[in-house]
Amino acid sequence: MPSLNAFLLVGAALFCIGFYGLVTSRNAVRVLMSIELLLNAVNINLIAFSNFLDPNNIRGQLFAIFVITVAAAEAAVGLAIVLAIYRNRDTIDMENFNLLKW
Amino acid sequence: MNIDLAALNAGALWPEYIVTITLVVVLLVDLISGRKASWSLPYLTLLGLGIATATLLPMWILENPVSFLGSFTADPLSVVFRAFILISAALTVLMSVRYINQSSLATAEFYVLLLGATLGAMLLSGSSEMAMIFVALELLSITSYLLSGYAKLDKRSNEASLKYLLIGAASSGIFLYGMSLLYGFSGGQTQLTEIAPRIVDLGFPALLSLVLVVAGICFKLSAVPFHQWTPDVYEGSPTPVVAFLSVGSKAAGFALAIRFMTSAYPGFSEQWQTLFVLLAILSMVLGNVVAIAQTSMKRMLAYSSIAQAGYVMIGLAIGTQEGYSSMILYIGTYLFMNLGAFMAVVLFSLRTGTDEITAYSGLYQKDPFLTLVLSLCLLSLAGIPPLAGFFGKLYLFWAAVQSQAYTLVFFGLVTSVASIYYYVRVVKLMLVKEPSPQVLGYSEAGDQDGIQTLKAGMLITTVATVVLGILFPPLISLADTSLRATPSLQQVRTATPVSRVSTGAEAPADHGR
Amino acid sequence: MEWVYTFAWLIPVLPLAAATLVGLGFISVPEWTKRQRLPVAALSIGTLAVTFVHSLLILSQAVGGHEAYTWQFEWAAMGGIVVPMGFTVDNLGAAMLTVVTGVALLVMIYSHGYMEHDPGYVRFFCYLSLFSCSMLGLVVSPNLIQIYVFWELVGMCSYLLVGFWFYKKAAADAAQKAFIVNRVGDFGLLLGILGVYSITRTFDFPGLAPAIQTAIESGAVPLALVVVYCLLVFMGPMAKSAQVPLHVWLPDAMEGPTPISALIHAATMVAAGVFLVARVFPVFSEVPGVLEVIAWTGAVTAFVGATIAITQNDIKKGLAYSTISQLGYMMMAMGVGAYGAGLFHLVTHACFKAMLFLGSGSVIHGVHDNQDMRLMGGLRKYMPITSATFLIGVLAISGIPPFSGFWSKDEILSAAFDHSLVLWGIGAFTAAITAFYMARMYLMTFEGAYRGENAAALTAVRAWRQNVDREGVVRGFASLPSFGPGAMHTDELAAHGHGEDHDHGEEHGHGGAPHESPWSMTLPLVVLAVPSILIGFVGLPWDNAFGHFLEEGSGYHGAEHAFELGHFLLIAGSSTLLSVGGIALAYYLYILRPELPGQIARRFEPVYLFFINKWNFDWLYEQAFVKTSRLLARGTLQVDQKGVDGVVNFSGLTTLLAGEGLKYFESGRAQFYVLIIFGSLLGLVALLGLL
Repeated sequence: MPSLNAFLLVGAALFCIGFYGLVTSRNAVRVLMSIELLLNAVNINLIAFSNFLDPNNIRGQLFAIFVITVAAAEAAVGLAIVLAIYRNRDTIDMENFNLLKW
Repeated sequence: MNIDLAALNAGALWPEYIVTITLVVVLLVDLISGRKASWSLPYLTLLGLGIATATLLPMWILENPVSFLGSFTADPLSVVFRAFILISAALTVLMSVRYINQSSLATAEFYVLLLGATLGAMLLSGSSEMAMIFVALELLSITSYLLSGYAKLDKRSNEASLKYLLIGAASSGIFLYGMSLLYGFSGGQTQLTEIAPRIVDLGFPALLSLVLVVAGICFKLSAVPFHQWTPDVYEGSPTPVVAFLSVGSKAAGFALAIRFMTSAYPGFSEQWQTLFVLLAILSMVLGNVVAIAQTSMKRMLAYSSIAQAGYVMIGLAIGTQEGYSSMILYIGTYLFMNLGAFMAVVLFSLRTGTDEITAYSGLYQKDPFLTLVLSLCLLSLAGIPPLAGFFGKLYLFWAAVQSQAYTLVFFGLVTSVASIYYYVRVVKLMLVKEPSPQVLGYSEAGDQDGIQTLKAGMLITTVATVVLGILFPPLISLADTSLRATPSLQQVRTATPVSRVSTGAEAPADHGR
Repeated sequence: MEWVYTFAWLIPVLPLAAATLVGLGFISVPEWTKRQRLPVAALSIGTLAVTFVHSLLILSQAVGGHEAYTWQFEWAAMGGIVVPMGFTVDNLGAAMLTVVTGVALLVMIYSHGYMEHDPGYVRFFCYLSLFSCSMLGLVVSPNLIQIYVFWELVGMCSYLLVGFWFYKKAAADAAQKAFIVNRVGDFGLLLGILGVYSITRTFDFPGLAPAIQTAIESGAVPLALVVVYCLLVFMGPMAKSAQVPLHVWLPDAMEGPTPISALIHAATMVAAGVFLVARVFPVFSEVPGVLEVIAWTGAVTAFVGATIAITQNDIKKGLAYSTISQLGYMMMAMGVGAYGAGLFHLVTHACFKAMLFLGSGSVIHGVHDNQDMRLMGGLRKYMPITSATFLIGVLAISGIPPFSGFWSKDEILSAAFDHSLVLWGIGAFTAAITAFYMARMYLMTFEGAYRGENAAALTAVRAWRQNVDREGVVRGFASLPSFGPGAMHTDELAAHGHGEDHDHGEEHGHGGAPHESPWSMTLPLVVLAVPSILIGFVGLPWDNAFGHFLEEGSGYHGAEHAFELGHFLLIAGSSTLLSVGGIALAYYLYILRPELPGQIARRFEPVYLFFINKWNFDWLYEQAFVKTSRLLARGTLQVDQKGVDGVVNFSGLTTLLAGEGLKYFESGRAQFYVLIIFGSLLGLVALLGLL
């Protein structure tokens, strides 16, 4: 079985990938997906810690379930907002969303 | 495992239950009666919030504040912040009645979402376990995203909502990542107070988690440099929502900041105080300076709220008993003056349909009441005596002087002088200048139901803004008792206050040697 | 009946509530509020009536020997300085409360008639309530800080009320002058309060005198410093009670509506100064020299006021100078240690002077807004009630027994006699002048024939205008005035015949016969006439109930005199004789030989011009203060524009530019924001890692 550090590295890498996607994607749906990556990086961390350090109480795994649930809600809301914006503006390109500035 | 129900101490959350019940009742009434009963929803909401406040007040000092096995701590600190949140939610309801009628959007959703946000914020003020914190935070955040996109046919509202969601989600990702590290470093603890002793000797890893957590919290506080969503979201969202975000949501953020820092990181107080000194100074400077260059009233108030958060952070950054109590007091006064200003903005934009600052010129000739309310609230925000904001700032700066944080006081004073410029500019416009076209076309003829509640709200906030200044001494002793009865803050009190600002400058040199 | 004391805080709060209610109405629904004339009047008068009854109850309790009652709470405490707030009611306070509420109540009722046609009717009542609140708050203040707060409120209200017709330039100027002159005094008062605090470490009245005494005895503080502090404190009363040389605002303040002149500038606000001196009297009497200064200030004021009053032709101005003169008497009484006598005169004066002012208002109302006595005369036929009450007032102020003024003035004179013969001489001589000019006023107004329609009188008065230059200084005689010379401000005269002086609705046309005023104006006159006649009997020299009442309350025992009939007869007899002489002289000059006064004035032209130009005080101030401060201001402006503004503008500009530049960081792109968050995250980690 790989060590804890390996899991943590995977988590950190996933987190960075998520951030990269968040910053560079032009498609709003892709941005939402990147956010999921961020949260899943956290989940990997939590479950790894839970397995290695807290095998009895498994608080981390419970925490991860909460995170997954909330992430689902967040994604739903995010998609709803993207839908609303698409209806009004016929685009989901992030480059266009700067009516509000300065 | 057999859990004794009495050990849950579930009674400490009665105010939250009542808010939840109100939420369900509002939903049901809307479901059953539909449009017929939509007029009653704001009053139902107000009633619920009122009852919740009534049940909250007797909990001032509970024998046993720990509830749900440590997930929630109903200590006086949480009671104060929950009261702030309830009051700001109630005032938000007062200002939204007319706004929602006029924008002809679904009524029930708004109040349900507002109650949801209130519930999240209240839970956040008291939660002391990481999963609980996360869930409460997300409850607050998600409802806020929806609220800011509430005007769903308005492009700007859509965009505000999307930006809020993206940045909010990214921030909560960061916050979560920090908490996951904290969970690991503490060897599998999620209770804040349990974590503290286990990470004391950890050094850099703990600091990494600290920065992540602070960044996550500072998103809610809209502290520079995590502030950039604020002006955009404030400008695009419906004004009552902005009012709630700027006060209720921010108060919850501060409650979380105080609790998280003092419970989980008492061993790193020097470091997190340095962080907050930096963030406070940045917020005060950037918020006030950029506010000067704004042309939209809502955007100006957004920058003003960034700057105000900077002032409040002074109390957090000095980390003394006086610091916390002056912080609580300032949030209390800020609540009324800021909501008063937003109510005035709501009334003005209802009547003229604009938020441009120049449109306010000459308003005095048409509506002295609105001018008076807005002037008093803005002057109080600027810290002009004898209004409440002045005393609030005075106590904050005084607390900072007592713990030798002169850099903070210096920046606070200089930036508040700069802030007077943009607040007074609006007042001057309203009083002195010739009426703008919008003001000339101003009429109270369109006044229908809902304006009265808005006016009542304006009256309440204005009176509070004027009167609170006089009542400060009793309020200070109130804040002091609330802190003295809060266990997590007791350790801070006994820890010797260090002058962070000076060490902040010298420490790198020491390290290098 | 303990509750009348414990609820004494209601006395200032009730009028405040009325004022707040009306004020709120003004802010939210101005048009509607303006139309609520009767309800507003009823509210204001009603609340004041309640406080009046309350004050009477307190007074009755106090007369029955009730202890003084004080309630205080800690309002602010910072760095060891404790500022308490609260209220206190002792015998002095009880007497003052009754006088203030009584006069204010009558003035309000009177205003209902007087201001009936004024568009600012509701605003007027709002201000009146606010003023009553300030004055009553001042009376119940238990410490120097609180009294200072209300002191300033009183000043502010007087500014509002004097400038009530702010669209009239003279009224606006007068309001400003009153405010500025009072600020001069208040500045001294504040310095004095802080100075006294630095010695005593307390603001409470009862604690002041003992602390000062110990400080002086132990030699901890140089005596000179204590004297300076006390004199600084006295500067406040000097301005507020219009003592020379800070009296110049009071005559100008007559530009306000007449009820205001009666309320503020005769009965209550100017009494605040005397009241404050009474409150801190124990302190002043500890410090040598201070009382002497007060006594002489009072004496000089009494004399100056009286001499100017002789020459006035404006009925209200005449009364104003008479007020200054009478306030001088009160101060003199304080100064010679006759604490009770001064307050006694305050009470009697409040009654008869309020009545005289209201009477003058009634006259002005009756002769269609003319204030020049040269164009009155013979009004007794037209307005019997007003003339009868005015006569009572004249007799009272002249000190003719048994009217109230006699007893109080006699008490002061007898105290002065014991203190210093010179002071007594000034006082007695002033009493004679007082009788003369008051009689002159009465005779010119009510006796003889009505001159309002008399072409010769009108021409003479118009011709007189040539003598008055732009700054209101009388230069000499251009023609012979027919009825007693006198100065008229050009504006005042211009007002005559145009009716713009008072912005009444003017439903009655100009000219026409004078008429008696409505009941709401005459009723207060009649009510006030009663105490003007009778109130003197509470302070009989051989049975001084009023003096005992005050002494019991304060625990302070002023100069106690055993009553000696011979002494009394000497003082009272001489002053009565002088007064009668004065009245007789006035009768001779203005009824029997009306051409004489003009000739006398020509004969002694320098003296006459000196008096009529108010001892040149205004001119002197203009030269010494106004002009020099303008020069100074101009100089400072230069420095400011060239130097300071440069620095300020530069930093302001930098801030503005920084704001303009920094705001473009808000690019509006959410992903850029996230990037910034990530970047600052790394930055903060690096920062903490390095620390």
